[in-house]
Amino acid sequence: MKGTLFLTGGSGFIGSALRARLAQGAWDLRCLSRQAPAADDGTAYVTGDLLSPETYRDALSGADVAVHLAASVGKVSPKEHWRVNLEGTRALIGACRQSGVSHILHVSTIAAGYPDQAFYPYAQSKAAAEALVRESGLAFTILRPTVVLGPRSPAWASLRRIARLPVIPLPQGARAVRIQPVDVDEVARAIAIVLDEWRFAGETLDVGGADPEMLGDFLRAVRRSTGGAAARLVRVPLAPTRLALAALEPVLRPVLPLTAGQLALFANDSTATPNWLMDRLRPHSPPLPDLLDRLAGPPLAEGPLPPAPADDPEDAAAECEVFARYLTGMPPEADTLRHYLAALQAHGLTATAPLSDFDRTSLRLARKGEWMARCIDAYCALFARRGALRRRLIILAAILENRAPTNALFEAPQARGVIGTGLALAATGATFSLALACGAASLGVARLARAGRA
Amino acid sequence: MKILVVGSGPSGLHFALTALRKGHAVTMLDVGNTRPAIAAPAESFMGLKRSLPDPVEYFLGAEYGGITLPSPNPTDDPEYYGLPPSKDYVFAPDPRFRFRGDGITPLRSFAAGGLAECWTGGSYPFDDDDLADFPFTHAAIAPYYGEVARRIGVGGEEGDDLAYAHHDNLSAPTPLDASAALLAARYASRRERLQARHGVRFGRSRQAVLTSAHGEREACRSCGRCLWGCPNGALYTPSITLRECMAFETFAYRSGQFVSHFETDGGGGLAGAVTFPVTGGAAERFTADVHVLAAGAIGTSNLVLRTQYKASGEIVRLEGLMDNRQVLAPFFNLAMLGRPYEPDSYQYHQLAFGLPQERPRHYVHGQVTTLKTGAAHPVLQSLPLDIRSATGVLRALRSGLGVANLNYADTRRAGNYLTLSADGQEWPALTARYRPAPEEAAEIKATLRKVGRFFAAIGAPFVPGMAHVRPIGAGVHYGGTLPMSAEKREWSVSPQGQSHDFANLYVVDGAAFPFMPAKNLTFTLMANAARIADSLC
Repeated sequence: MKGTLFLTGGSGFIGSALRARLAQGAWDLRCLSRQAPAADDGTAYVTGDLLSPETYRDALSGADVAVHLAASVGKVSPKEHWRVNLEGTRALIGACRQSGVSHILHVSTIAAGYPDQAFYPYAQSKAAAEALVRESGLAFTILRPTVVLGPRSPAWASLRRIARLPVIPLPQGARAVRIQPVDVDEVARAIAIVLDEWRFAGETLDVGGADPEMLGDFLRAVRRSTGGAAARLVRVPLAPTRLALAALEPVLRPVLPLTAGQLALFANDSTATPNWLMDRLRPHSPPLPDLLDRLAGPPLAEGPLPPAPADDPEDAAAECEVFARYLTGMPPEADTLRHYLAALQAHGLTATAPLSDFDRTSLRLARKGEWMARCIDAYCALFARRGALRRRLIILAAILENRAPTNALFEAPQARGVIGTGLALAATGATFSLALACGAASLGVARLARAGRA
Repeated sequence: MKILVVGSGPSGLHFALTALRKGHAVTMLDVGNTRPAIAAPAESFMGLKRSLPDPVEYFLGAEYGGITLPSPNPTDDPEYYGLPPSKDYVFAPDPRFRFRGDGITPLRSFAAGGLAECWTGGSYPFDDDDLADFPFTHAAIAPYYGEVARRIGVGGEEGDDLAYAHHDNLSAPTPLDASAALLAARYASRRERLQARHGVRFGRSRQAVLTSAHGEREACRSCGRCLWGCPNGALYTPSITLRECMAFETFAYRSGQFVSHFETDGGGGLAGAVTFPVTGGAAERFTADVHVLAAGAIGTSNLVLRTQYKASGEIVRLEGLMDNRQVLAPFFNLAMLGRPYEPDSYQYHQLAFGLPQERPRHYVHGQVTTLKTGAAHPVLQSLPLDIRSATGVLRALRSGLGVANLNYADTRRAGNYLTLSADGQEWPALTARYRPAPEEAAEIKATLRKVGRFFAAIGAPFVPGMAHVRPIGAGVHYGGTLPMSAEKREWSVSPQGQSHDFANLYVVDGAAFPFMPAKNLTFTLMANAARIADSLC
């Protein structure tokens, strides 16, 4: 006889993989969903809201087990994380008790066990939710998947983005950390094993992939698997990066490439502690290189490359205008423009010169205006020092510093005194920080937009 | 006596001038690329940017070769020499010279005046410790230091802690710029404590710069154009001595000649030089009683190797190739914070330092240069900031920035050599191999730390993480392949520079140095060449 399974988060990333695995199996599925799906995919959906138990209490009654996948992830406010992850779980547990559902399989996250959860409301709320489950009086099993990879994995998109930067920034704290990513199908298999064997002994079980790896090595492997040339890892101090992101987050959260909390990945080991479930999974887990190969090809997000920025003289003139305004606050004189065009030619920076994806994006953004040029330059100064934008700006700077009146901008001013100099430096530092944040955000948005279009 | 000199660098010219004055007839063979006319000689550095019709072309070159860009790949970045387009002629290559280096990338010049056309004028006499491996003492060469100092004008101070060996004709050095003056004052005010704690000697550098007029040359007028080529001859370059030689009727300067090799006379001597005119055409022959090699250690060795190859088909290996290792350590002079900078001032080193070592001849020598008119864009791109912010930071700090340039002695070691290697062309290519001494890295680390602590103590801490160990070849002090030696050995020369392999051949340049002290060698190249010329009857 088939059992009945009540599933939250069934249309999500892990949920989709789980439904596919359970489709032919021993379970009748009832999926909680905020809205009825457009097409009938053979799953019984219950339209309701996790936080409003009355909307799904009927569907819950008679179920043998609740599998709780629904969670708030990604770049949402801390309040939202706590509301969905903690209060949502509280609501579900209450509904289970009322409806006589005595078993719950709670899918949590490896991050719930991170010793360092600074600025990471997602991890904190998931840990608090786990505590509710443990105290619920229900028979339970908690699964903590590590970093879950799959074609639609949000983590994969972020990691891939980082790994494909011209230089891979690796925020690092006191020590290098390890990662043990797991295929989403393996997570679905782990859930199926617990259900099939009906193991609800109050355990908390990590679910990881085949082998742990150093995070830096993993990022290099991601880059290799996506066809990138070998790249240098640049270790970035973790604590200041995290503080900076945390400070910017309230305003810039939607556009930041990464949240301060997500940096917890770089502060904690994300490896699975051995357990019986891992023993069962491991012999069949795909080795990491196979997993990466499968994820990498066929190309996912890139899509057809946008055309190279046109380099006819008119465009180059417009570019020179923006860049000169950025560097000097003034439009270029005719002579500066003439030298700029000739110097680009002399140094082989012409329309036919091959440009990487990143070069194309950074040039396109930098041409939008002088502030944007500064922002993108600030980003490139750290992460793409040898890229097309920097090379063009250096050429223009070399021209500007060698002719009057712009040369004055490159030479030391008359005496300014220690305090004046200190203030000037502080102002420069502050402007740079702002430009860097905006540059990172803009490039992040541009990448996401492109991925979205593709 | 009829003398043939190959090469118009400092060695060749001071040899020639001495020989001419002794009544010998000198023919000088040289490729001899010449310096283009000096732009607006009366202008200062700042004035050039205002008054030249196209300053960008002057400062960056018609092909924009003066723009330093990062290579797409970090390992492809060439060593940065900061040489402006106005000095391109010094390094114009010659297709007849083919070279392959392993562990060494030497600079080569075919200019009239040689590489020293763009030297920075450091003129230091070698003392007896420096000369320990040489077959003569300081006393033997001191008169020639005095003579060369009279010819070229060497400024400096005697009796300071640097305690350079004495020579005559030392003149007054250039007035210190504000940054250098502050460093010197700080050293003076706590000299004894600094000496006791750090053991670093500090004082004025020796500069081949005139502070009062000398013949056709004017005194330095602090125009700030040193880097781009001194416009009034205050900073000595060998082409000045070339003009002096030209005044002798017994001097023939045959430029446009690429010397291929010497022909041998079948009796253990040379019969003359074979040259290729650089404009093309048939080989030419020049004969003489005495043949003098002064083409620079690399060029001179190449000619000896080719001569031997042509005469016997034998490819020999000239062991003992040397170059001074250089380390550049940027510093910031804290006392200059908030002060203006002085573009109108002498641009090269005005201060020097030395760090005595356990082995006296391994003394570490350094020169201090305060940064003024150098190009900004190479610095801007090296800062981890957007160019606009980097410009702001550079402007704010520019007046206090400087570079300590540490030089390390080098010894002749087996395995570092010049030879020829066949590559299918008519002539085998000159091939060099160089490996640093195994203890070098540790020595650099230890001395850099000591010197760094000293600089911090005089208020000019090194910029962390910016010290740069330059590759071998960048020292531009090559030598050791045909060393002077008291005993007669193959591929060496007598204390008077006479070859032990070809009777009427003399080697008067760095190839004949049996040791490379850390002190800049050019002054000694000139003095030694004059000494050898004086020893010819």
